Amino acid sequence: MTTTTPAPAPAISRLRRNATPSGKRRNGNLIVGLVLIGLIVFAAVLSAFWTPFDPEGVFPQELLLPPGGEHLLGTDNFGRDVLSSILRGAQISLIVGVVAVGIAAVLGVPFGIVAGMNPGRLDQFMMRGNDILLAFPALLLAIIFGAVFGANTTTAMIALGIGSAPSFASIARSGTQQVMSREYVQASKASGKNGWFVGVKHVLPNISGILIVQASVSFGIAVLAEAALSYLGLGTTPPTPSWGRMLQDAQGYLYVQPLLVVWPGIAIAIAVLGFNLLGDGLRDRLDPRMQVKR
Amino acid sequence: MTTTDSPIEPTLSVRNLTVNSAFAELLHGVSFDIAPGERVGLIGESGSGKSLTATSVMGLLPETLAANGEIHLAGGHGDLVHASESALSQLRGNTMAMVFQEPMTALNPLMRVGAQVAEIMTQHRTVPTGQSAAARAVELLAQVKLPNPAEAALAFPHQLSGGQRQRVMLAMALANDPQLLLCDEPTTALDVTVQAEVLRLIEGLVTERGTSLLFITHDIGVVAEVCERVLVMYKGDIVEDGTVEQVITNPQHPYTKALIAASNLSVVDERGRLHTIATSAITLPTAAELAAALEEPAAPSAPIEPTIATPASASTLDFVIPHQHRTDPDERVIFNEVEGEPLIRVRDLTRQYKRRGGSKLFSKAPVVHGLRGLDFDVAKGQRFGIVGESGSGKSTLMRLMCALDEPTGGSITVSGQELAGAKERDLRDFRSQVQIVFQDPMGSLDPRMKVEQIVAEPLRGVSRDESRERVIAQLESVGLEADVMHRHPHQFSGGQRQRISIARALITRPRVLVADEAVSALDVSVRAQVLNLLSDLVDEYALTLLFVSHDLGVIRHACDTVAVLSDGRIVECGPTDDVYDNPLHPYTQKLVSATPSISELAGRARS
Amino acid sequence: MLLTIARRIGIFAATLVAASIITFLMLSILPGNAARVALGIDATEAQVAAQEQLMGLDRPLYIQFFDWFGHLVIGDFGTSTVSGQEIGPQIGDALAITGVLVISSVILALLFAIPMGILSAVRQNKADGVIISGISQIGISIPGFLFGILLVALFAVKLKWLPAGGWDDPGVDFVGFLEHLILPAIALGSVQGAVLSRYVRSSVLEVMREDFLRTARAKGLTPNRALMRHGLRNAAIPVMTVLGLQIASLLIGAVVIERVFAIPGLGSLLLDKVALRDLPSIQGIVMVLVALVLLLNLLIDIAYTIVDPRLRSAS
Repeated sequence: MTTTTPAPAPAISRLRRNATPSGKRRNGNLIVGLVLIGLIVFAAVLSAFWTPFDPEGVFPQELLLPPGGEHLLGTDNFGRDVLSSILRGAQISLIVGVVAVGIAAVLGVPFGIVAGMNPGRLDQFMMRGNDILLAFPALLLAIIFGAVFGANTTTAMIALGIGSAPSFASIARSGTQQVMSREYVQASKASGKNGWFVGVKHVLPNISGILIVQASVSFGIAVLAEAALSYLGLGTTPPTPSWGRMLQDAQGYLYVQPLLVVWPGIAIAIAVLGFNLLGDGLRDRLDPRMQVKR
Repeated sequence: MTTTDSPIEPTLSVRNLTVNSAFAELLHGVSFDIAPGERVGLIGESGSGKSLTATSVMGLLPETLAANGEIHLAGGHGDLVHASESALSQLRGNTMAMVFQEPMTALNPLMRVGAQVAEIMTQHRTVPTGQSAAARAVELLAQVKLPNPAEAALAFPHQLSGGQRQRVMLAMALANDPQLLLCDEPTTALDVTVQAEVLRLIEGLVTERGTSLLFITHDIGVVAEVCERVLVMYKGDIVEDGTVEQVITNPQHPYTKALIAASNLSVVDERGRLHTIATSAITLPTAAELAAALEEPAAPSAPIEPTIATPASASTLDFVIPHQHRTDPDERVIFNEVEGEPLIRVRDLTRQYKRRGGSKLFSKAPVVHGLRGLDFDVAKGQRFGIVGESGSGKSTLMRLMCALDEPTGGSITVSGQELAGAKERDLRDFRSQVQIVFQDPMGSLDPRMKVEQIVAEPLRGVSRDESRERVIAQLESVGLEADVMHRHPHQFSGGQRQRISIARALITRPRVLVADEAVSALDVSVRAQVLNLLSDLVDEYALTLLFVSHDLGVIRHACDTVAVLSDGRIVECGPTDDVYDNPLHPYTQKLVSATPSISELAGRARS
Repeated sequence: MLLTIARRIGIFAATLVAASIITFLMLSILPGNAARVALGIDATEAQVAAQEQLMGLDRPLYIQFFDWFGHLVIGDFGTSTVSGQEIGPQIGDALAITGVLVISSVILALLFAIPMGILSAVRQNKADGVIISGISQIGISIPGFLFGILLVALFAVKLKWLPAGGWDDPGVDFVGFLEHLILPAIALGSVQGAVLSRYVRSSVLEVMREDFLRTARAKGLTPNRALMRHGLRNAAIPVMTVLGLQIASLLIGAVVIERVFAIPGLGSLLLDKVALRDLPSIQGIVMVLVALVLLLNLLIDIAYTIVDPRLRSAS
């Protein structure tokens, strides 16, 4: 219901009198975001070849060791090295993010472009459908899918992807509407180009910026959702290390080793912060006239 | 730059005002005075610094810009450049007031307009109570000639038209009887007839109250209507200062000379071309450089005896354009009827729109008439102008003629091809024969494409090499170098972008060129260049030109025939000069008389 | 205006029906069927068939849907296939608890987001504005459930000021009720508040660039007064849109937070039923959550219409 309501004020696009002379703003966001994401990617890649200890074994003689010494961040209730689990956990977070965002973009973007290019009944119809899907938050969808198909990483990724598709559709649609109102599209049509050409050659390149921003933000949301699902026991199944499940395990030992919740917590926050900052930084670099409200 | 030394303290005195951004100096020491009750125009092209001057006076410069120098208002308020925010707040809206360009966005959309007018009085406590402020607001709305002022006071801005909103802004600005009124392009966004009314209103109210006026505009015709004195700005300097008549009839500075020549679309040289300011649009020279350049004997401002002629009417049409007008709104008149097979034939063309959402839940959606029965022909080689104000249906007509929209009734045939109900695949030939040049130089080129792709877009079934060759040739034909094809549109100025648009339009060798307000977004000097180019190309390619515009001056220059569109109908059509000199229909008469023009004043100079 | 509202209510009803069809279908097309789930793995084919008949699962899907939907409309959620209890009253009790949690979090979120968002916009180039903006950026990145666990670690485990989880009925023990409410409400509200404050900030920044704000200053209003009188209401409109979109994530956030604090609300109920694969109950709870999302969005849309005169006339 909300998405099809045209945001009345302020206008989406207009010449900004007070805009900075050029697009050159401090782009600290972009740099910090990239550094944080780089850290996570590095952890994921590194852990594929090497971790300090085996993150999937059980070591009964080394339970709940405090940080320091051989185990830099200590061990958990199964005696597993926390650092190793955190490094390996980056893999699941990134995989879930990539697959979920991929699904969301593949479903949502063409849907939004088609709706945006066909104002009138088709657009209305498609956007009502989109609104209905928006009433099912991604995480709720993941819980339902978990109940129906069994809870595991694959189910979670697909559910999060489908659940994030409507926001891609909304953004693609409003971007498309802006592009369609431009005279170069009129010129293209007037020289006999069909909708397919306009969609691929004019619309897609011009909305790619806002889509990349949306992908970055959705990536952060997917990482967060995977952590929440695993925390609830509806995501990644043991023994694969996952930050969310580490939190769940750690919560049971709060009175014994409270630091155990801190490490996976920091990892989640770094990943989400990284993608949020990247999204903000990219948005700043975009042409301000193509900004679309989320 | 000098001002008359009068014993009376000037209302506004600006001395050596400079404005700097982090990168450059934007105003280079501007000085001028405005005497009490004097109406001064400040003209210049975009980027000349005229708006910066006004915002500096108001103390409303963006934080990123810094002003230096001195600004004084009569009455000993101290130097405004260095005044505190609270001191300035006391003066704004009270001693000095400002009306802005965009009537659509300058009012708070969530507040009733009466309350917005009343606020300026309660803010400065110029009326004793809120109630009396509201009553006075209604009075003021009556003074700016809003119909039903009491009702209008309760309206929200979106319920008013652009002209009405600008009246509200004016009522607001004058509420506290300021000494000085600043107007920043207040009528630029309005239709000509509305503009004429608002200008008359501003002049009347200001004269009546003895308010000093600083009127900023790019249109020298507007200045001639409202002001007594005019300051000409160029690249951050005031280059000329004199009475309106002096400046128009006997400009001193070379820039002013060139500007006035370029503004006057009825004056052409012996080759039928408009005077242009011979400067590159990318790097404008400074005032001094320009002066030096233009004083050189070879420069185009070297005395050319202007000849009054409308070049297009001398074209090689082999029939006499009839001058017709509509006497009865429902009568069917076929305008500009061509015997035999005209290039374009339009018959009983209608386009209705259904507005979404009726007033009742299940009632039928109301129908809005975009066009209500158009009949006209366009002969091959004719330069056909369509002039109309916003809402007249001219954009709808343009879209129909280019088959970007379907008519709801009637027919359009272009070289025998019927457009109404035609399938896209039948239009293939039509598409290559009819091309458009749009208004917005920013929006008409895809920012993600390179110039080569843009210009080549209309081509189909052409090899890569041939396509490139044709692009290069076409770019050269519009006065651009071949190597621009590797650049993106944002690297070009407005005039250059319009040239690229024209190149794109001509690459398929069309027979018909549709120009949709093609020069309306350009500065005067660039406008003249683009119009000359268009005119040359129409000759060179033997095009039939369909020029849609709100600007009568432009149509008069570019077209041999003009159709006046009002409320979805053609009300008058005929040879351009004839229609302008002897308008038959009342609407055309109103339109012609509302158009600000300097040709009368300038003409006086030559006689 | 009434007409616009009536139209919105109509759209709401239609969307709700469509959402119920989706909910029903998603949970009906099961790989293992509900009858077998109810009986356990040991049941014979004959027993399963009998159970299917008993549960009405042998009827065509659309008849099952109308049966379910018809009862839903009159507030009958059916009975649990696992426990045999009535589902409706369970949902009602849980909803009351979730409602209290969500409403108190929204209030907390708004109390945080509005002043912080405005401040960080107005002082965007000053140190304090940048710091506030940075805090909210980090706030967005910490999931609510993680923040909840950290709050428990600090205030329940370490300082022992507040209980680590559970719930008290306000009618029975009001102080205990508040003690149990504080941490989950903060956990849920602060994260939403951080998200919202970013939107308040960008919306205020946007409005500060508007022409009418410059008009207000040209009238002699000081920058702050111009923003207060003319800016904030205009800035509220896009924020309300975002609030509508946030509601879904707020409700789903509550589901997770309830698990962190062992609060017997709708979220805990849903997760329990998911663990049991009690499909009629899951259907009922999902329907209630989705209906809430839609209803709150409807209310925001109506509020929208009231705030913005441009939407009052035609839609």
